[in-house]
Amino acid sequence: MTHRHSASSLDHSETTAPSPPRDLKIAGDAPSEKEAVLIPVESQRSWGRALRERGPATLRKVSLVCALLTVLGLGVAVLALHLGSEPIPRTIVGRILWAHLFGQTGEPTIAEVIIWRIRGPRVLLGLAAGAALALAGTLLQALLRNPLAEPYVLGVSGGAALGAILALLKWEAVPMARPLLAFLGAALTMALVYAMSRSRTGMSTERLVLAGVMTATLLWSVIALVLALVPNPRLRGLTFWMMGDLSGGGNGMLPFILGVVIGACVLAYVHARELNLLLVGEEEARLLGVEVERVKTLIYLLASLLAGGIVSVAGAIGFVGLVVPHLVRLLWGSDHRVVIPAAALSGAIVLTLADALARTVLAPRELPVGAVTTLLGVPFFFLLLRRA
Amino acid sequence: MLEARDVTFAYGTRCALVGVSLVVAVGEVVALVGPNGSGKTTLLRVLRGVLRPQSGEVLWEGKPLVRFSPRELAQAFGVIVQDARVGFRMTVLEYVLQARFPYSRGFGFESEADVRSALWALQLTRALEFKDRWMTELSGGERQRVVLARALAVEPRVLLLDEPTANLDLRFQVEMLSLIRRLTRERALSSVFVAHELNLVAEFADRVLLLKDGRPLAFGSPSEVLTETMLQHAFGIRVCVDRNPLSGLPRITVSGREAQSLCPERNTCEEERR
Repeated sequence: MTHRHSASSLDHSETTAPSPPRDLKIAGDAPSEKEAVLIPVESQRSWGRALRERGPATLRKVSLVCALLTVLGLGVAVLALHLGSEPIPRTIVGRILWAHLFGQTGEPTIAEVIIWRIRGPRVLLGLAAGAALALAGTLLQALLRNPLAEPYVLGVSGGAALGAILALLKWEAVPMARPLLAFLGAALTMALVYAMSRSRTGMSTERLVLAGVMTATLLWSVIALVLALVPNPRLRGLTFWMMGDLSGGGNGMLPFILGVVIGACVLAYVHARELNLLLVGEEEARLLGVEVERVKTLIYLLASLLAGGIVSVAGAIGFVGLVVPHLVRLLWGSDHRVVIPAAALSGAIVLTLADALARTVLAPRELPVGAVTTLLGVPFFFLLLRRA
Repeated sequence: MLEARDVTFAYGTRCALVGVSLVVAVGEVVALVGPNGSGKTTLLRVLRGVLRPQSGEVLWEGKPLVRFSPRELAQAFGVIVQDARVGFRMTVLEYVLQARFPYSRGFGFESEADVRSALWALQLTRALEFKDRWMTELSGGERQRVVLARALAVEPRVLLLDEPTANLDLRFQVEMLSLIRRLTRERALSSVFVAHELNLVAEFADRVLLLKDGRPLAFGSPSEVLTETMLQHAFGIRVCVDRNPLSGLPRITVSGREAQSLCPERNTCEEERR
């Protein structure tokens, strides 16, 4: 009713009145404070400082972080193409990539087949899976307001794996059965863990981790039972797959997986500010006008889709979703406008490196990449648990 | 103007508010007082529209709250909830800047004007000096001032503050309540706060609503409401009320030297219904 008159009556009583922000003057405190208020924070900053700076994300910081990680990611991808049981010189890797990307295909050499048919899809799958896992971890952590949340720890990957195995046994001929059932398994597991970790007093870290660990144990036991009881020769190779394995290169599902990952990144990024508010608290977010239920449902579906999609083609790869978002937050703060792209890119880098490691450490034998990430990730998890 | 008309609210079967009415005029500060569990926080949440009352209604500027969009309400109400905490690495400025969300819908970055509002609010609550610290590193009192800054950064028309003086030392209790009263007058706000320090309530509130077991015991000026009989009835202990020599307003004194629990009678909702 009467806001306007009061605002105008304020303008000439600045000495005593706390004036509205647009004509802010500071009485004469420390000069540093004065500068902080009067100089627009955006305008005078070096690029280097923008990277290290605390505080709300700016367009400059986001683009800088993304550019840095993209360059790093491309480097790692080329390195991963070069490494393997048959190392191919980087100059040749570069030449082959160049030739294929710009349509000058000559006669197929062995190196070309290795790069384009075998390592290429595998590296792409690694990039996509790493991005998906880190993004799923980031989303779950915001949704549950808990830095320990992650698809593998919460049993969501186990649920997806059970779904994928079920699809393999029952509906092998149905084209999209595997990712679809993996998604369903992930979504159901998450709903279960979420329901179990809630009590009348709200949600606690202890209950969440406990519920997740119990669910995961249960699911992996069920999977072990299924594998033991069903004498299906097709399931033999599954033990390796269950521990995380990128060697299939997606088996024709690569375009689908890439689509899911990119789509999920975009959808999540559009809701970055809502996620920031959710990090503080659901009630606080609602008070500031966030449609909490809608955002939560979306995040829940996206995380399940990512976890299900990745598990159905690459098995259960643990701890990338835990370690990567945490490191990103340590480096650049918790603002999701930075965290979402940075976690996706870093996840891609980390998993590609881990897979290169898995391929080369005991070459020509290969290790399951999930074992590598878990070996590296568990100590980190303990560290986090002690600090939580 | 914010108005609650004969509001009744129950969590399931447990009655939290019974027939509460309240008017907060423009430029007025109203305090909610009463024992723990008497429905103060519930009333704040009903006033904000977070809880929908089973009967009665809440009006803002003469219109029922349900007629406003969530965004309009988010722009109009500055709210502090009890025991606000952040578990992630987030700077004070980031936290306060979040209050600008209702002004710029959807994705994007905060404008310079948003940053200025946040800094202005931080300066008012004397929290500007630690704007770049992590929320997790703050002391209880520092956090409380930042939380108040977040409510002010909304540039609201209504302030609903649940224990704004919690964790603050004596000086900051006085400073923050003075600030709230000054802003309420100068920016024509309607403010409601919950506090347990009855002497501060007497000094800073224009009117006081005393609640007990979800029922209004009294609503009026501090000297009308904060009387010996009322307070003894509400809290079940002996109190002495005289005049504050500095302000002439009621002064509430208790003694720790004698056993003074008057038998507290708690009537429940069920009894009331019969």
